[in-house]
Amino acid sequence: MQRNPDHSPAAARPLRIATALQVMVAAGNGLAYVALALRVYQETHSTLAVTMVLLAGGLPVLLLAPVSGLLLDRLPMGRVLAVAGLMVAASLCGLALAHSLMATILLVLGFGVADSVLQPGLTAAIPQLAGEVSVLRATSRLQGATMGGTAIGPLLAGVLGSLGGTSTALFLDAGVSVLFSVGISTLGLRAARTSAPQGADDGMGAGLRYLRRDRPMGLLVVVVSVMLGFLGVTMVVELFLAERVLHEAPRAMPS
Amino acid sequence: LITAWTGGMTLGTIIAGRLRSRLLAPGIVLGLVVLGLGVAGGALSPTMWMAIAAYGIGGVGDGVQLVGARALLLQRAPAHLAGRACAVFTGATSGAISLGMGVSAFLVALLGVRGALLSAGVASIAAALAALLLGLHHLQGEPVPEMLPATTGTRRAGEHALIS
Repeated sequence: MQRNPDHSPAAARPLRIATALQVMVAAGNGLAYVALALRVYQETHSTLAVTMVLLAGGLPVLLLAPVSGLLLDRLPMGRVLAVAGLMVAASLCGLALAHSLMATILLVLGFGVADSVLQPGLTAAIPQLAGEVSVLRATSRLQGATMGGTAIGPLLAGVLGSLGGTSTALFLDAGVSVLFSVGISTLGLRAARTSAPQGADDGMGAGLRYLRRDRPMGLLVVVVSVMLGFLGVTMVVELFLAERVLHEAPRAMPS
Repeated sequence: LITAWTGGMTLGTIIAGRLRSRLLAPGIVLGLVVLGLGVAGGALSPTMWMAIAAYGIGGVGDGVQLVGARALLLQRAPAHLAGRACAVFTGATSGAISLGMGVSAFLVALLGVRGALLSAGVASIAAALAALLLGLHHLQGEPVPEMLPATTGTRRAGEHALIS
């Protein structure tokens, strides 16, 4: 067995490819949201319109969670993720061409529906991708890749947007999504559903019921969600802090 | 500020990946405290650079909890439920972030910019302390046995893995 100097097993090929794909997806998401938010704001000058676009992308992840989870558990995971990637690509192509607010919101909704499968799917696939690497190390690797992509995305949106306009950026992002779909299909993810023990809870709401049954884990999910709720507050308020408070501080000091 | 937070998160994900299994749950709780301290520190910073430093530190905590909570979920959830458990987790966290963003304007109007940010930081630390009181730092990444109809009388079957 090939080993790293720190004596942990080397990442297998599927995990390495998945890491690269994760960077692409996260960068693409960041690029799309920043480019769209800017375009909608430039065209409407309405923060409400921007909020509606962002909500259209985010709400399906919450509302469709039971359905998305069931699809991921019941159908071949690689194919489900590949189809979701193609749906993202189609939505992005539509967004590159559409300019009315209603069309933008509907297409972002389509993007959000696909994302409701991609986000949990890429996490649920980790044990299959990890190989000899521990689930913790594989999760660390993939989440690190997500953060890298998240940092690159807005930067790309700015550069591509200024060079070729928002539509070019969105078309390029669509191409990246097609590449993701092809890549995820080659990783050898589960082709058949994992059979549940006889008589086990296996319905659409089984994920939620599992978290109620595994009380400590359920509580951790609640605590983390509450924390992220407060983080959501900071995501908006930090913009005001940077613009209104800290930028004014040096000017205020001499007086 | 955002770059500092993202940079800190990337460092946090690397740190979390190198933690020993038994230190993962305590690492998550500590990460949540650090996250709250980072936000509160940012709120109290008199200059941009101090806020950036505080946010960098807060991001490290966020990165540790990000990896830790997902890894624990994947290790504990039954394999046939992995997709549904991850979907609930993703849905809950995304919904919470959206809700937080939604109420942020109200909080700013009520408490001011620094007050809103400070309250978010302090509330985050309080939530982390609640996790500590609930004993979540004892969570272990062991699979939870499926509760079959014959064993439904065992109300809290999953708690066997909560080592006290």
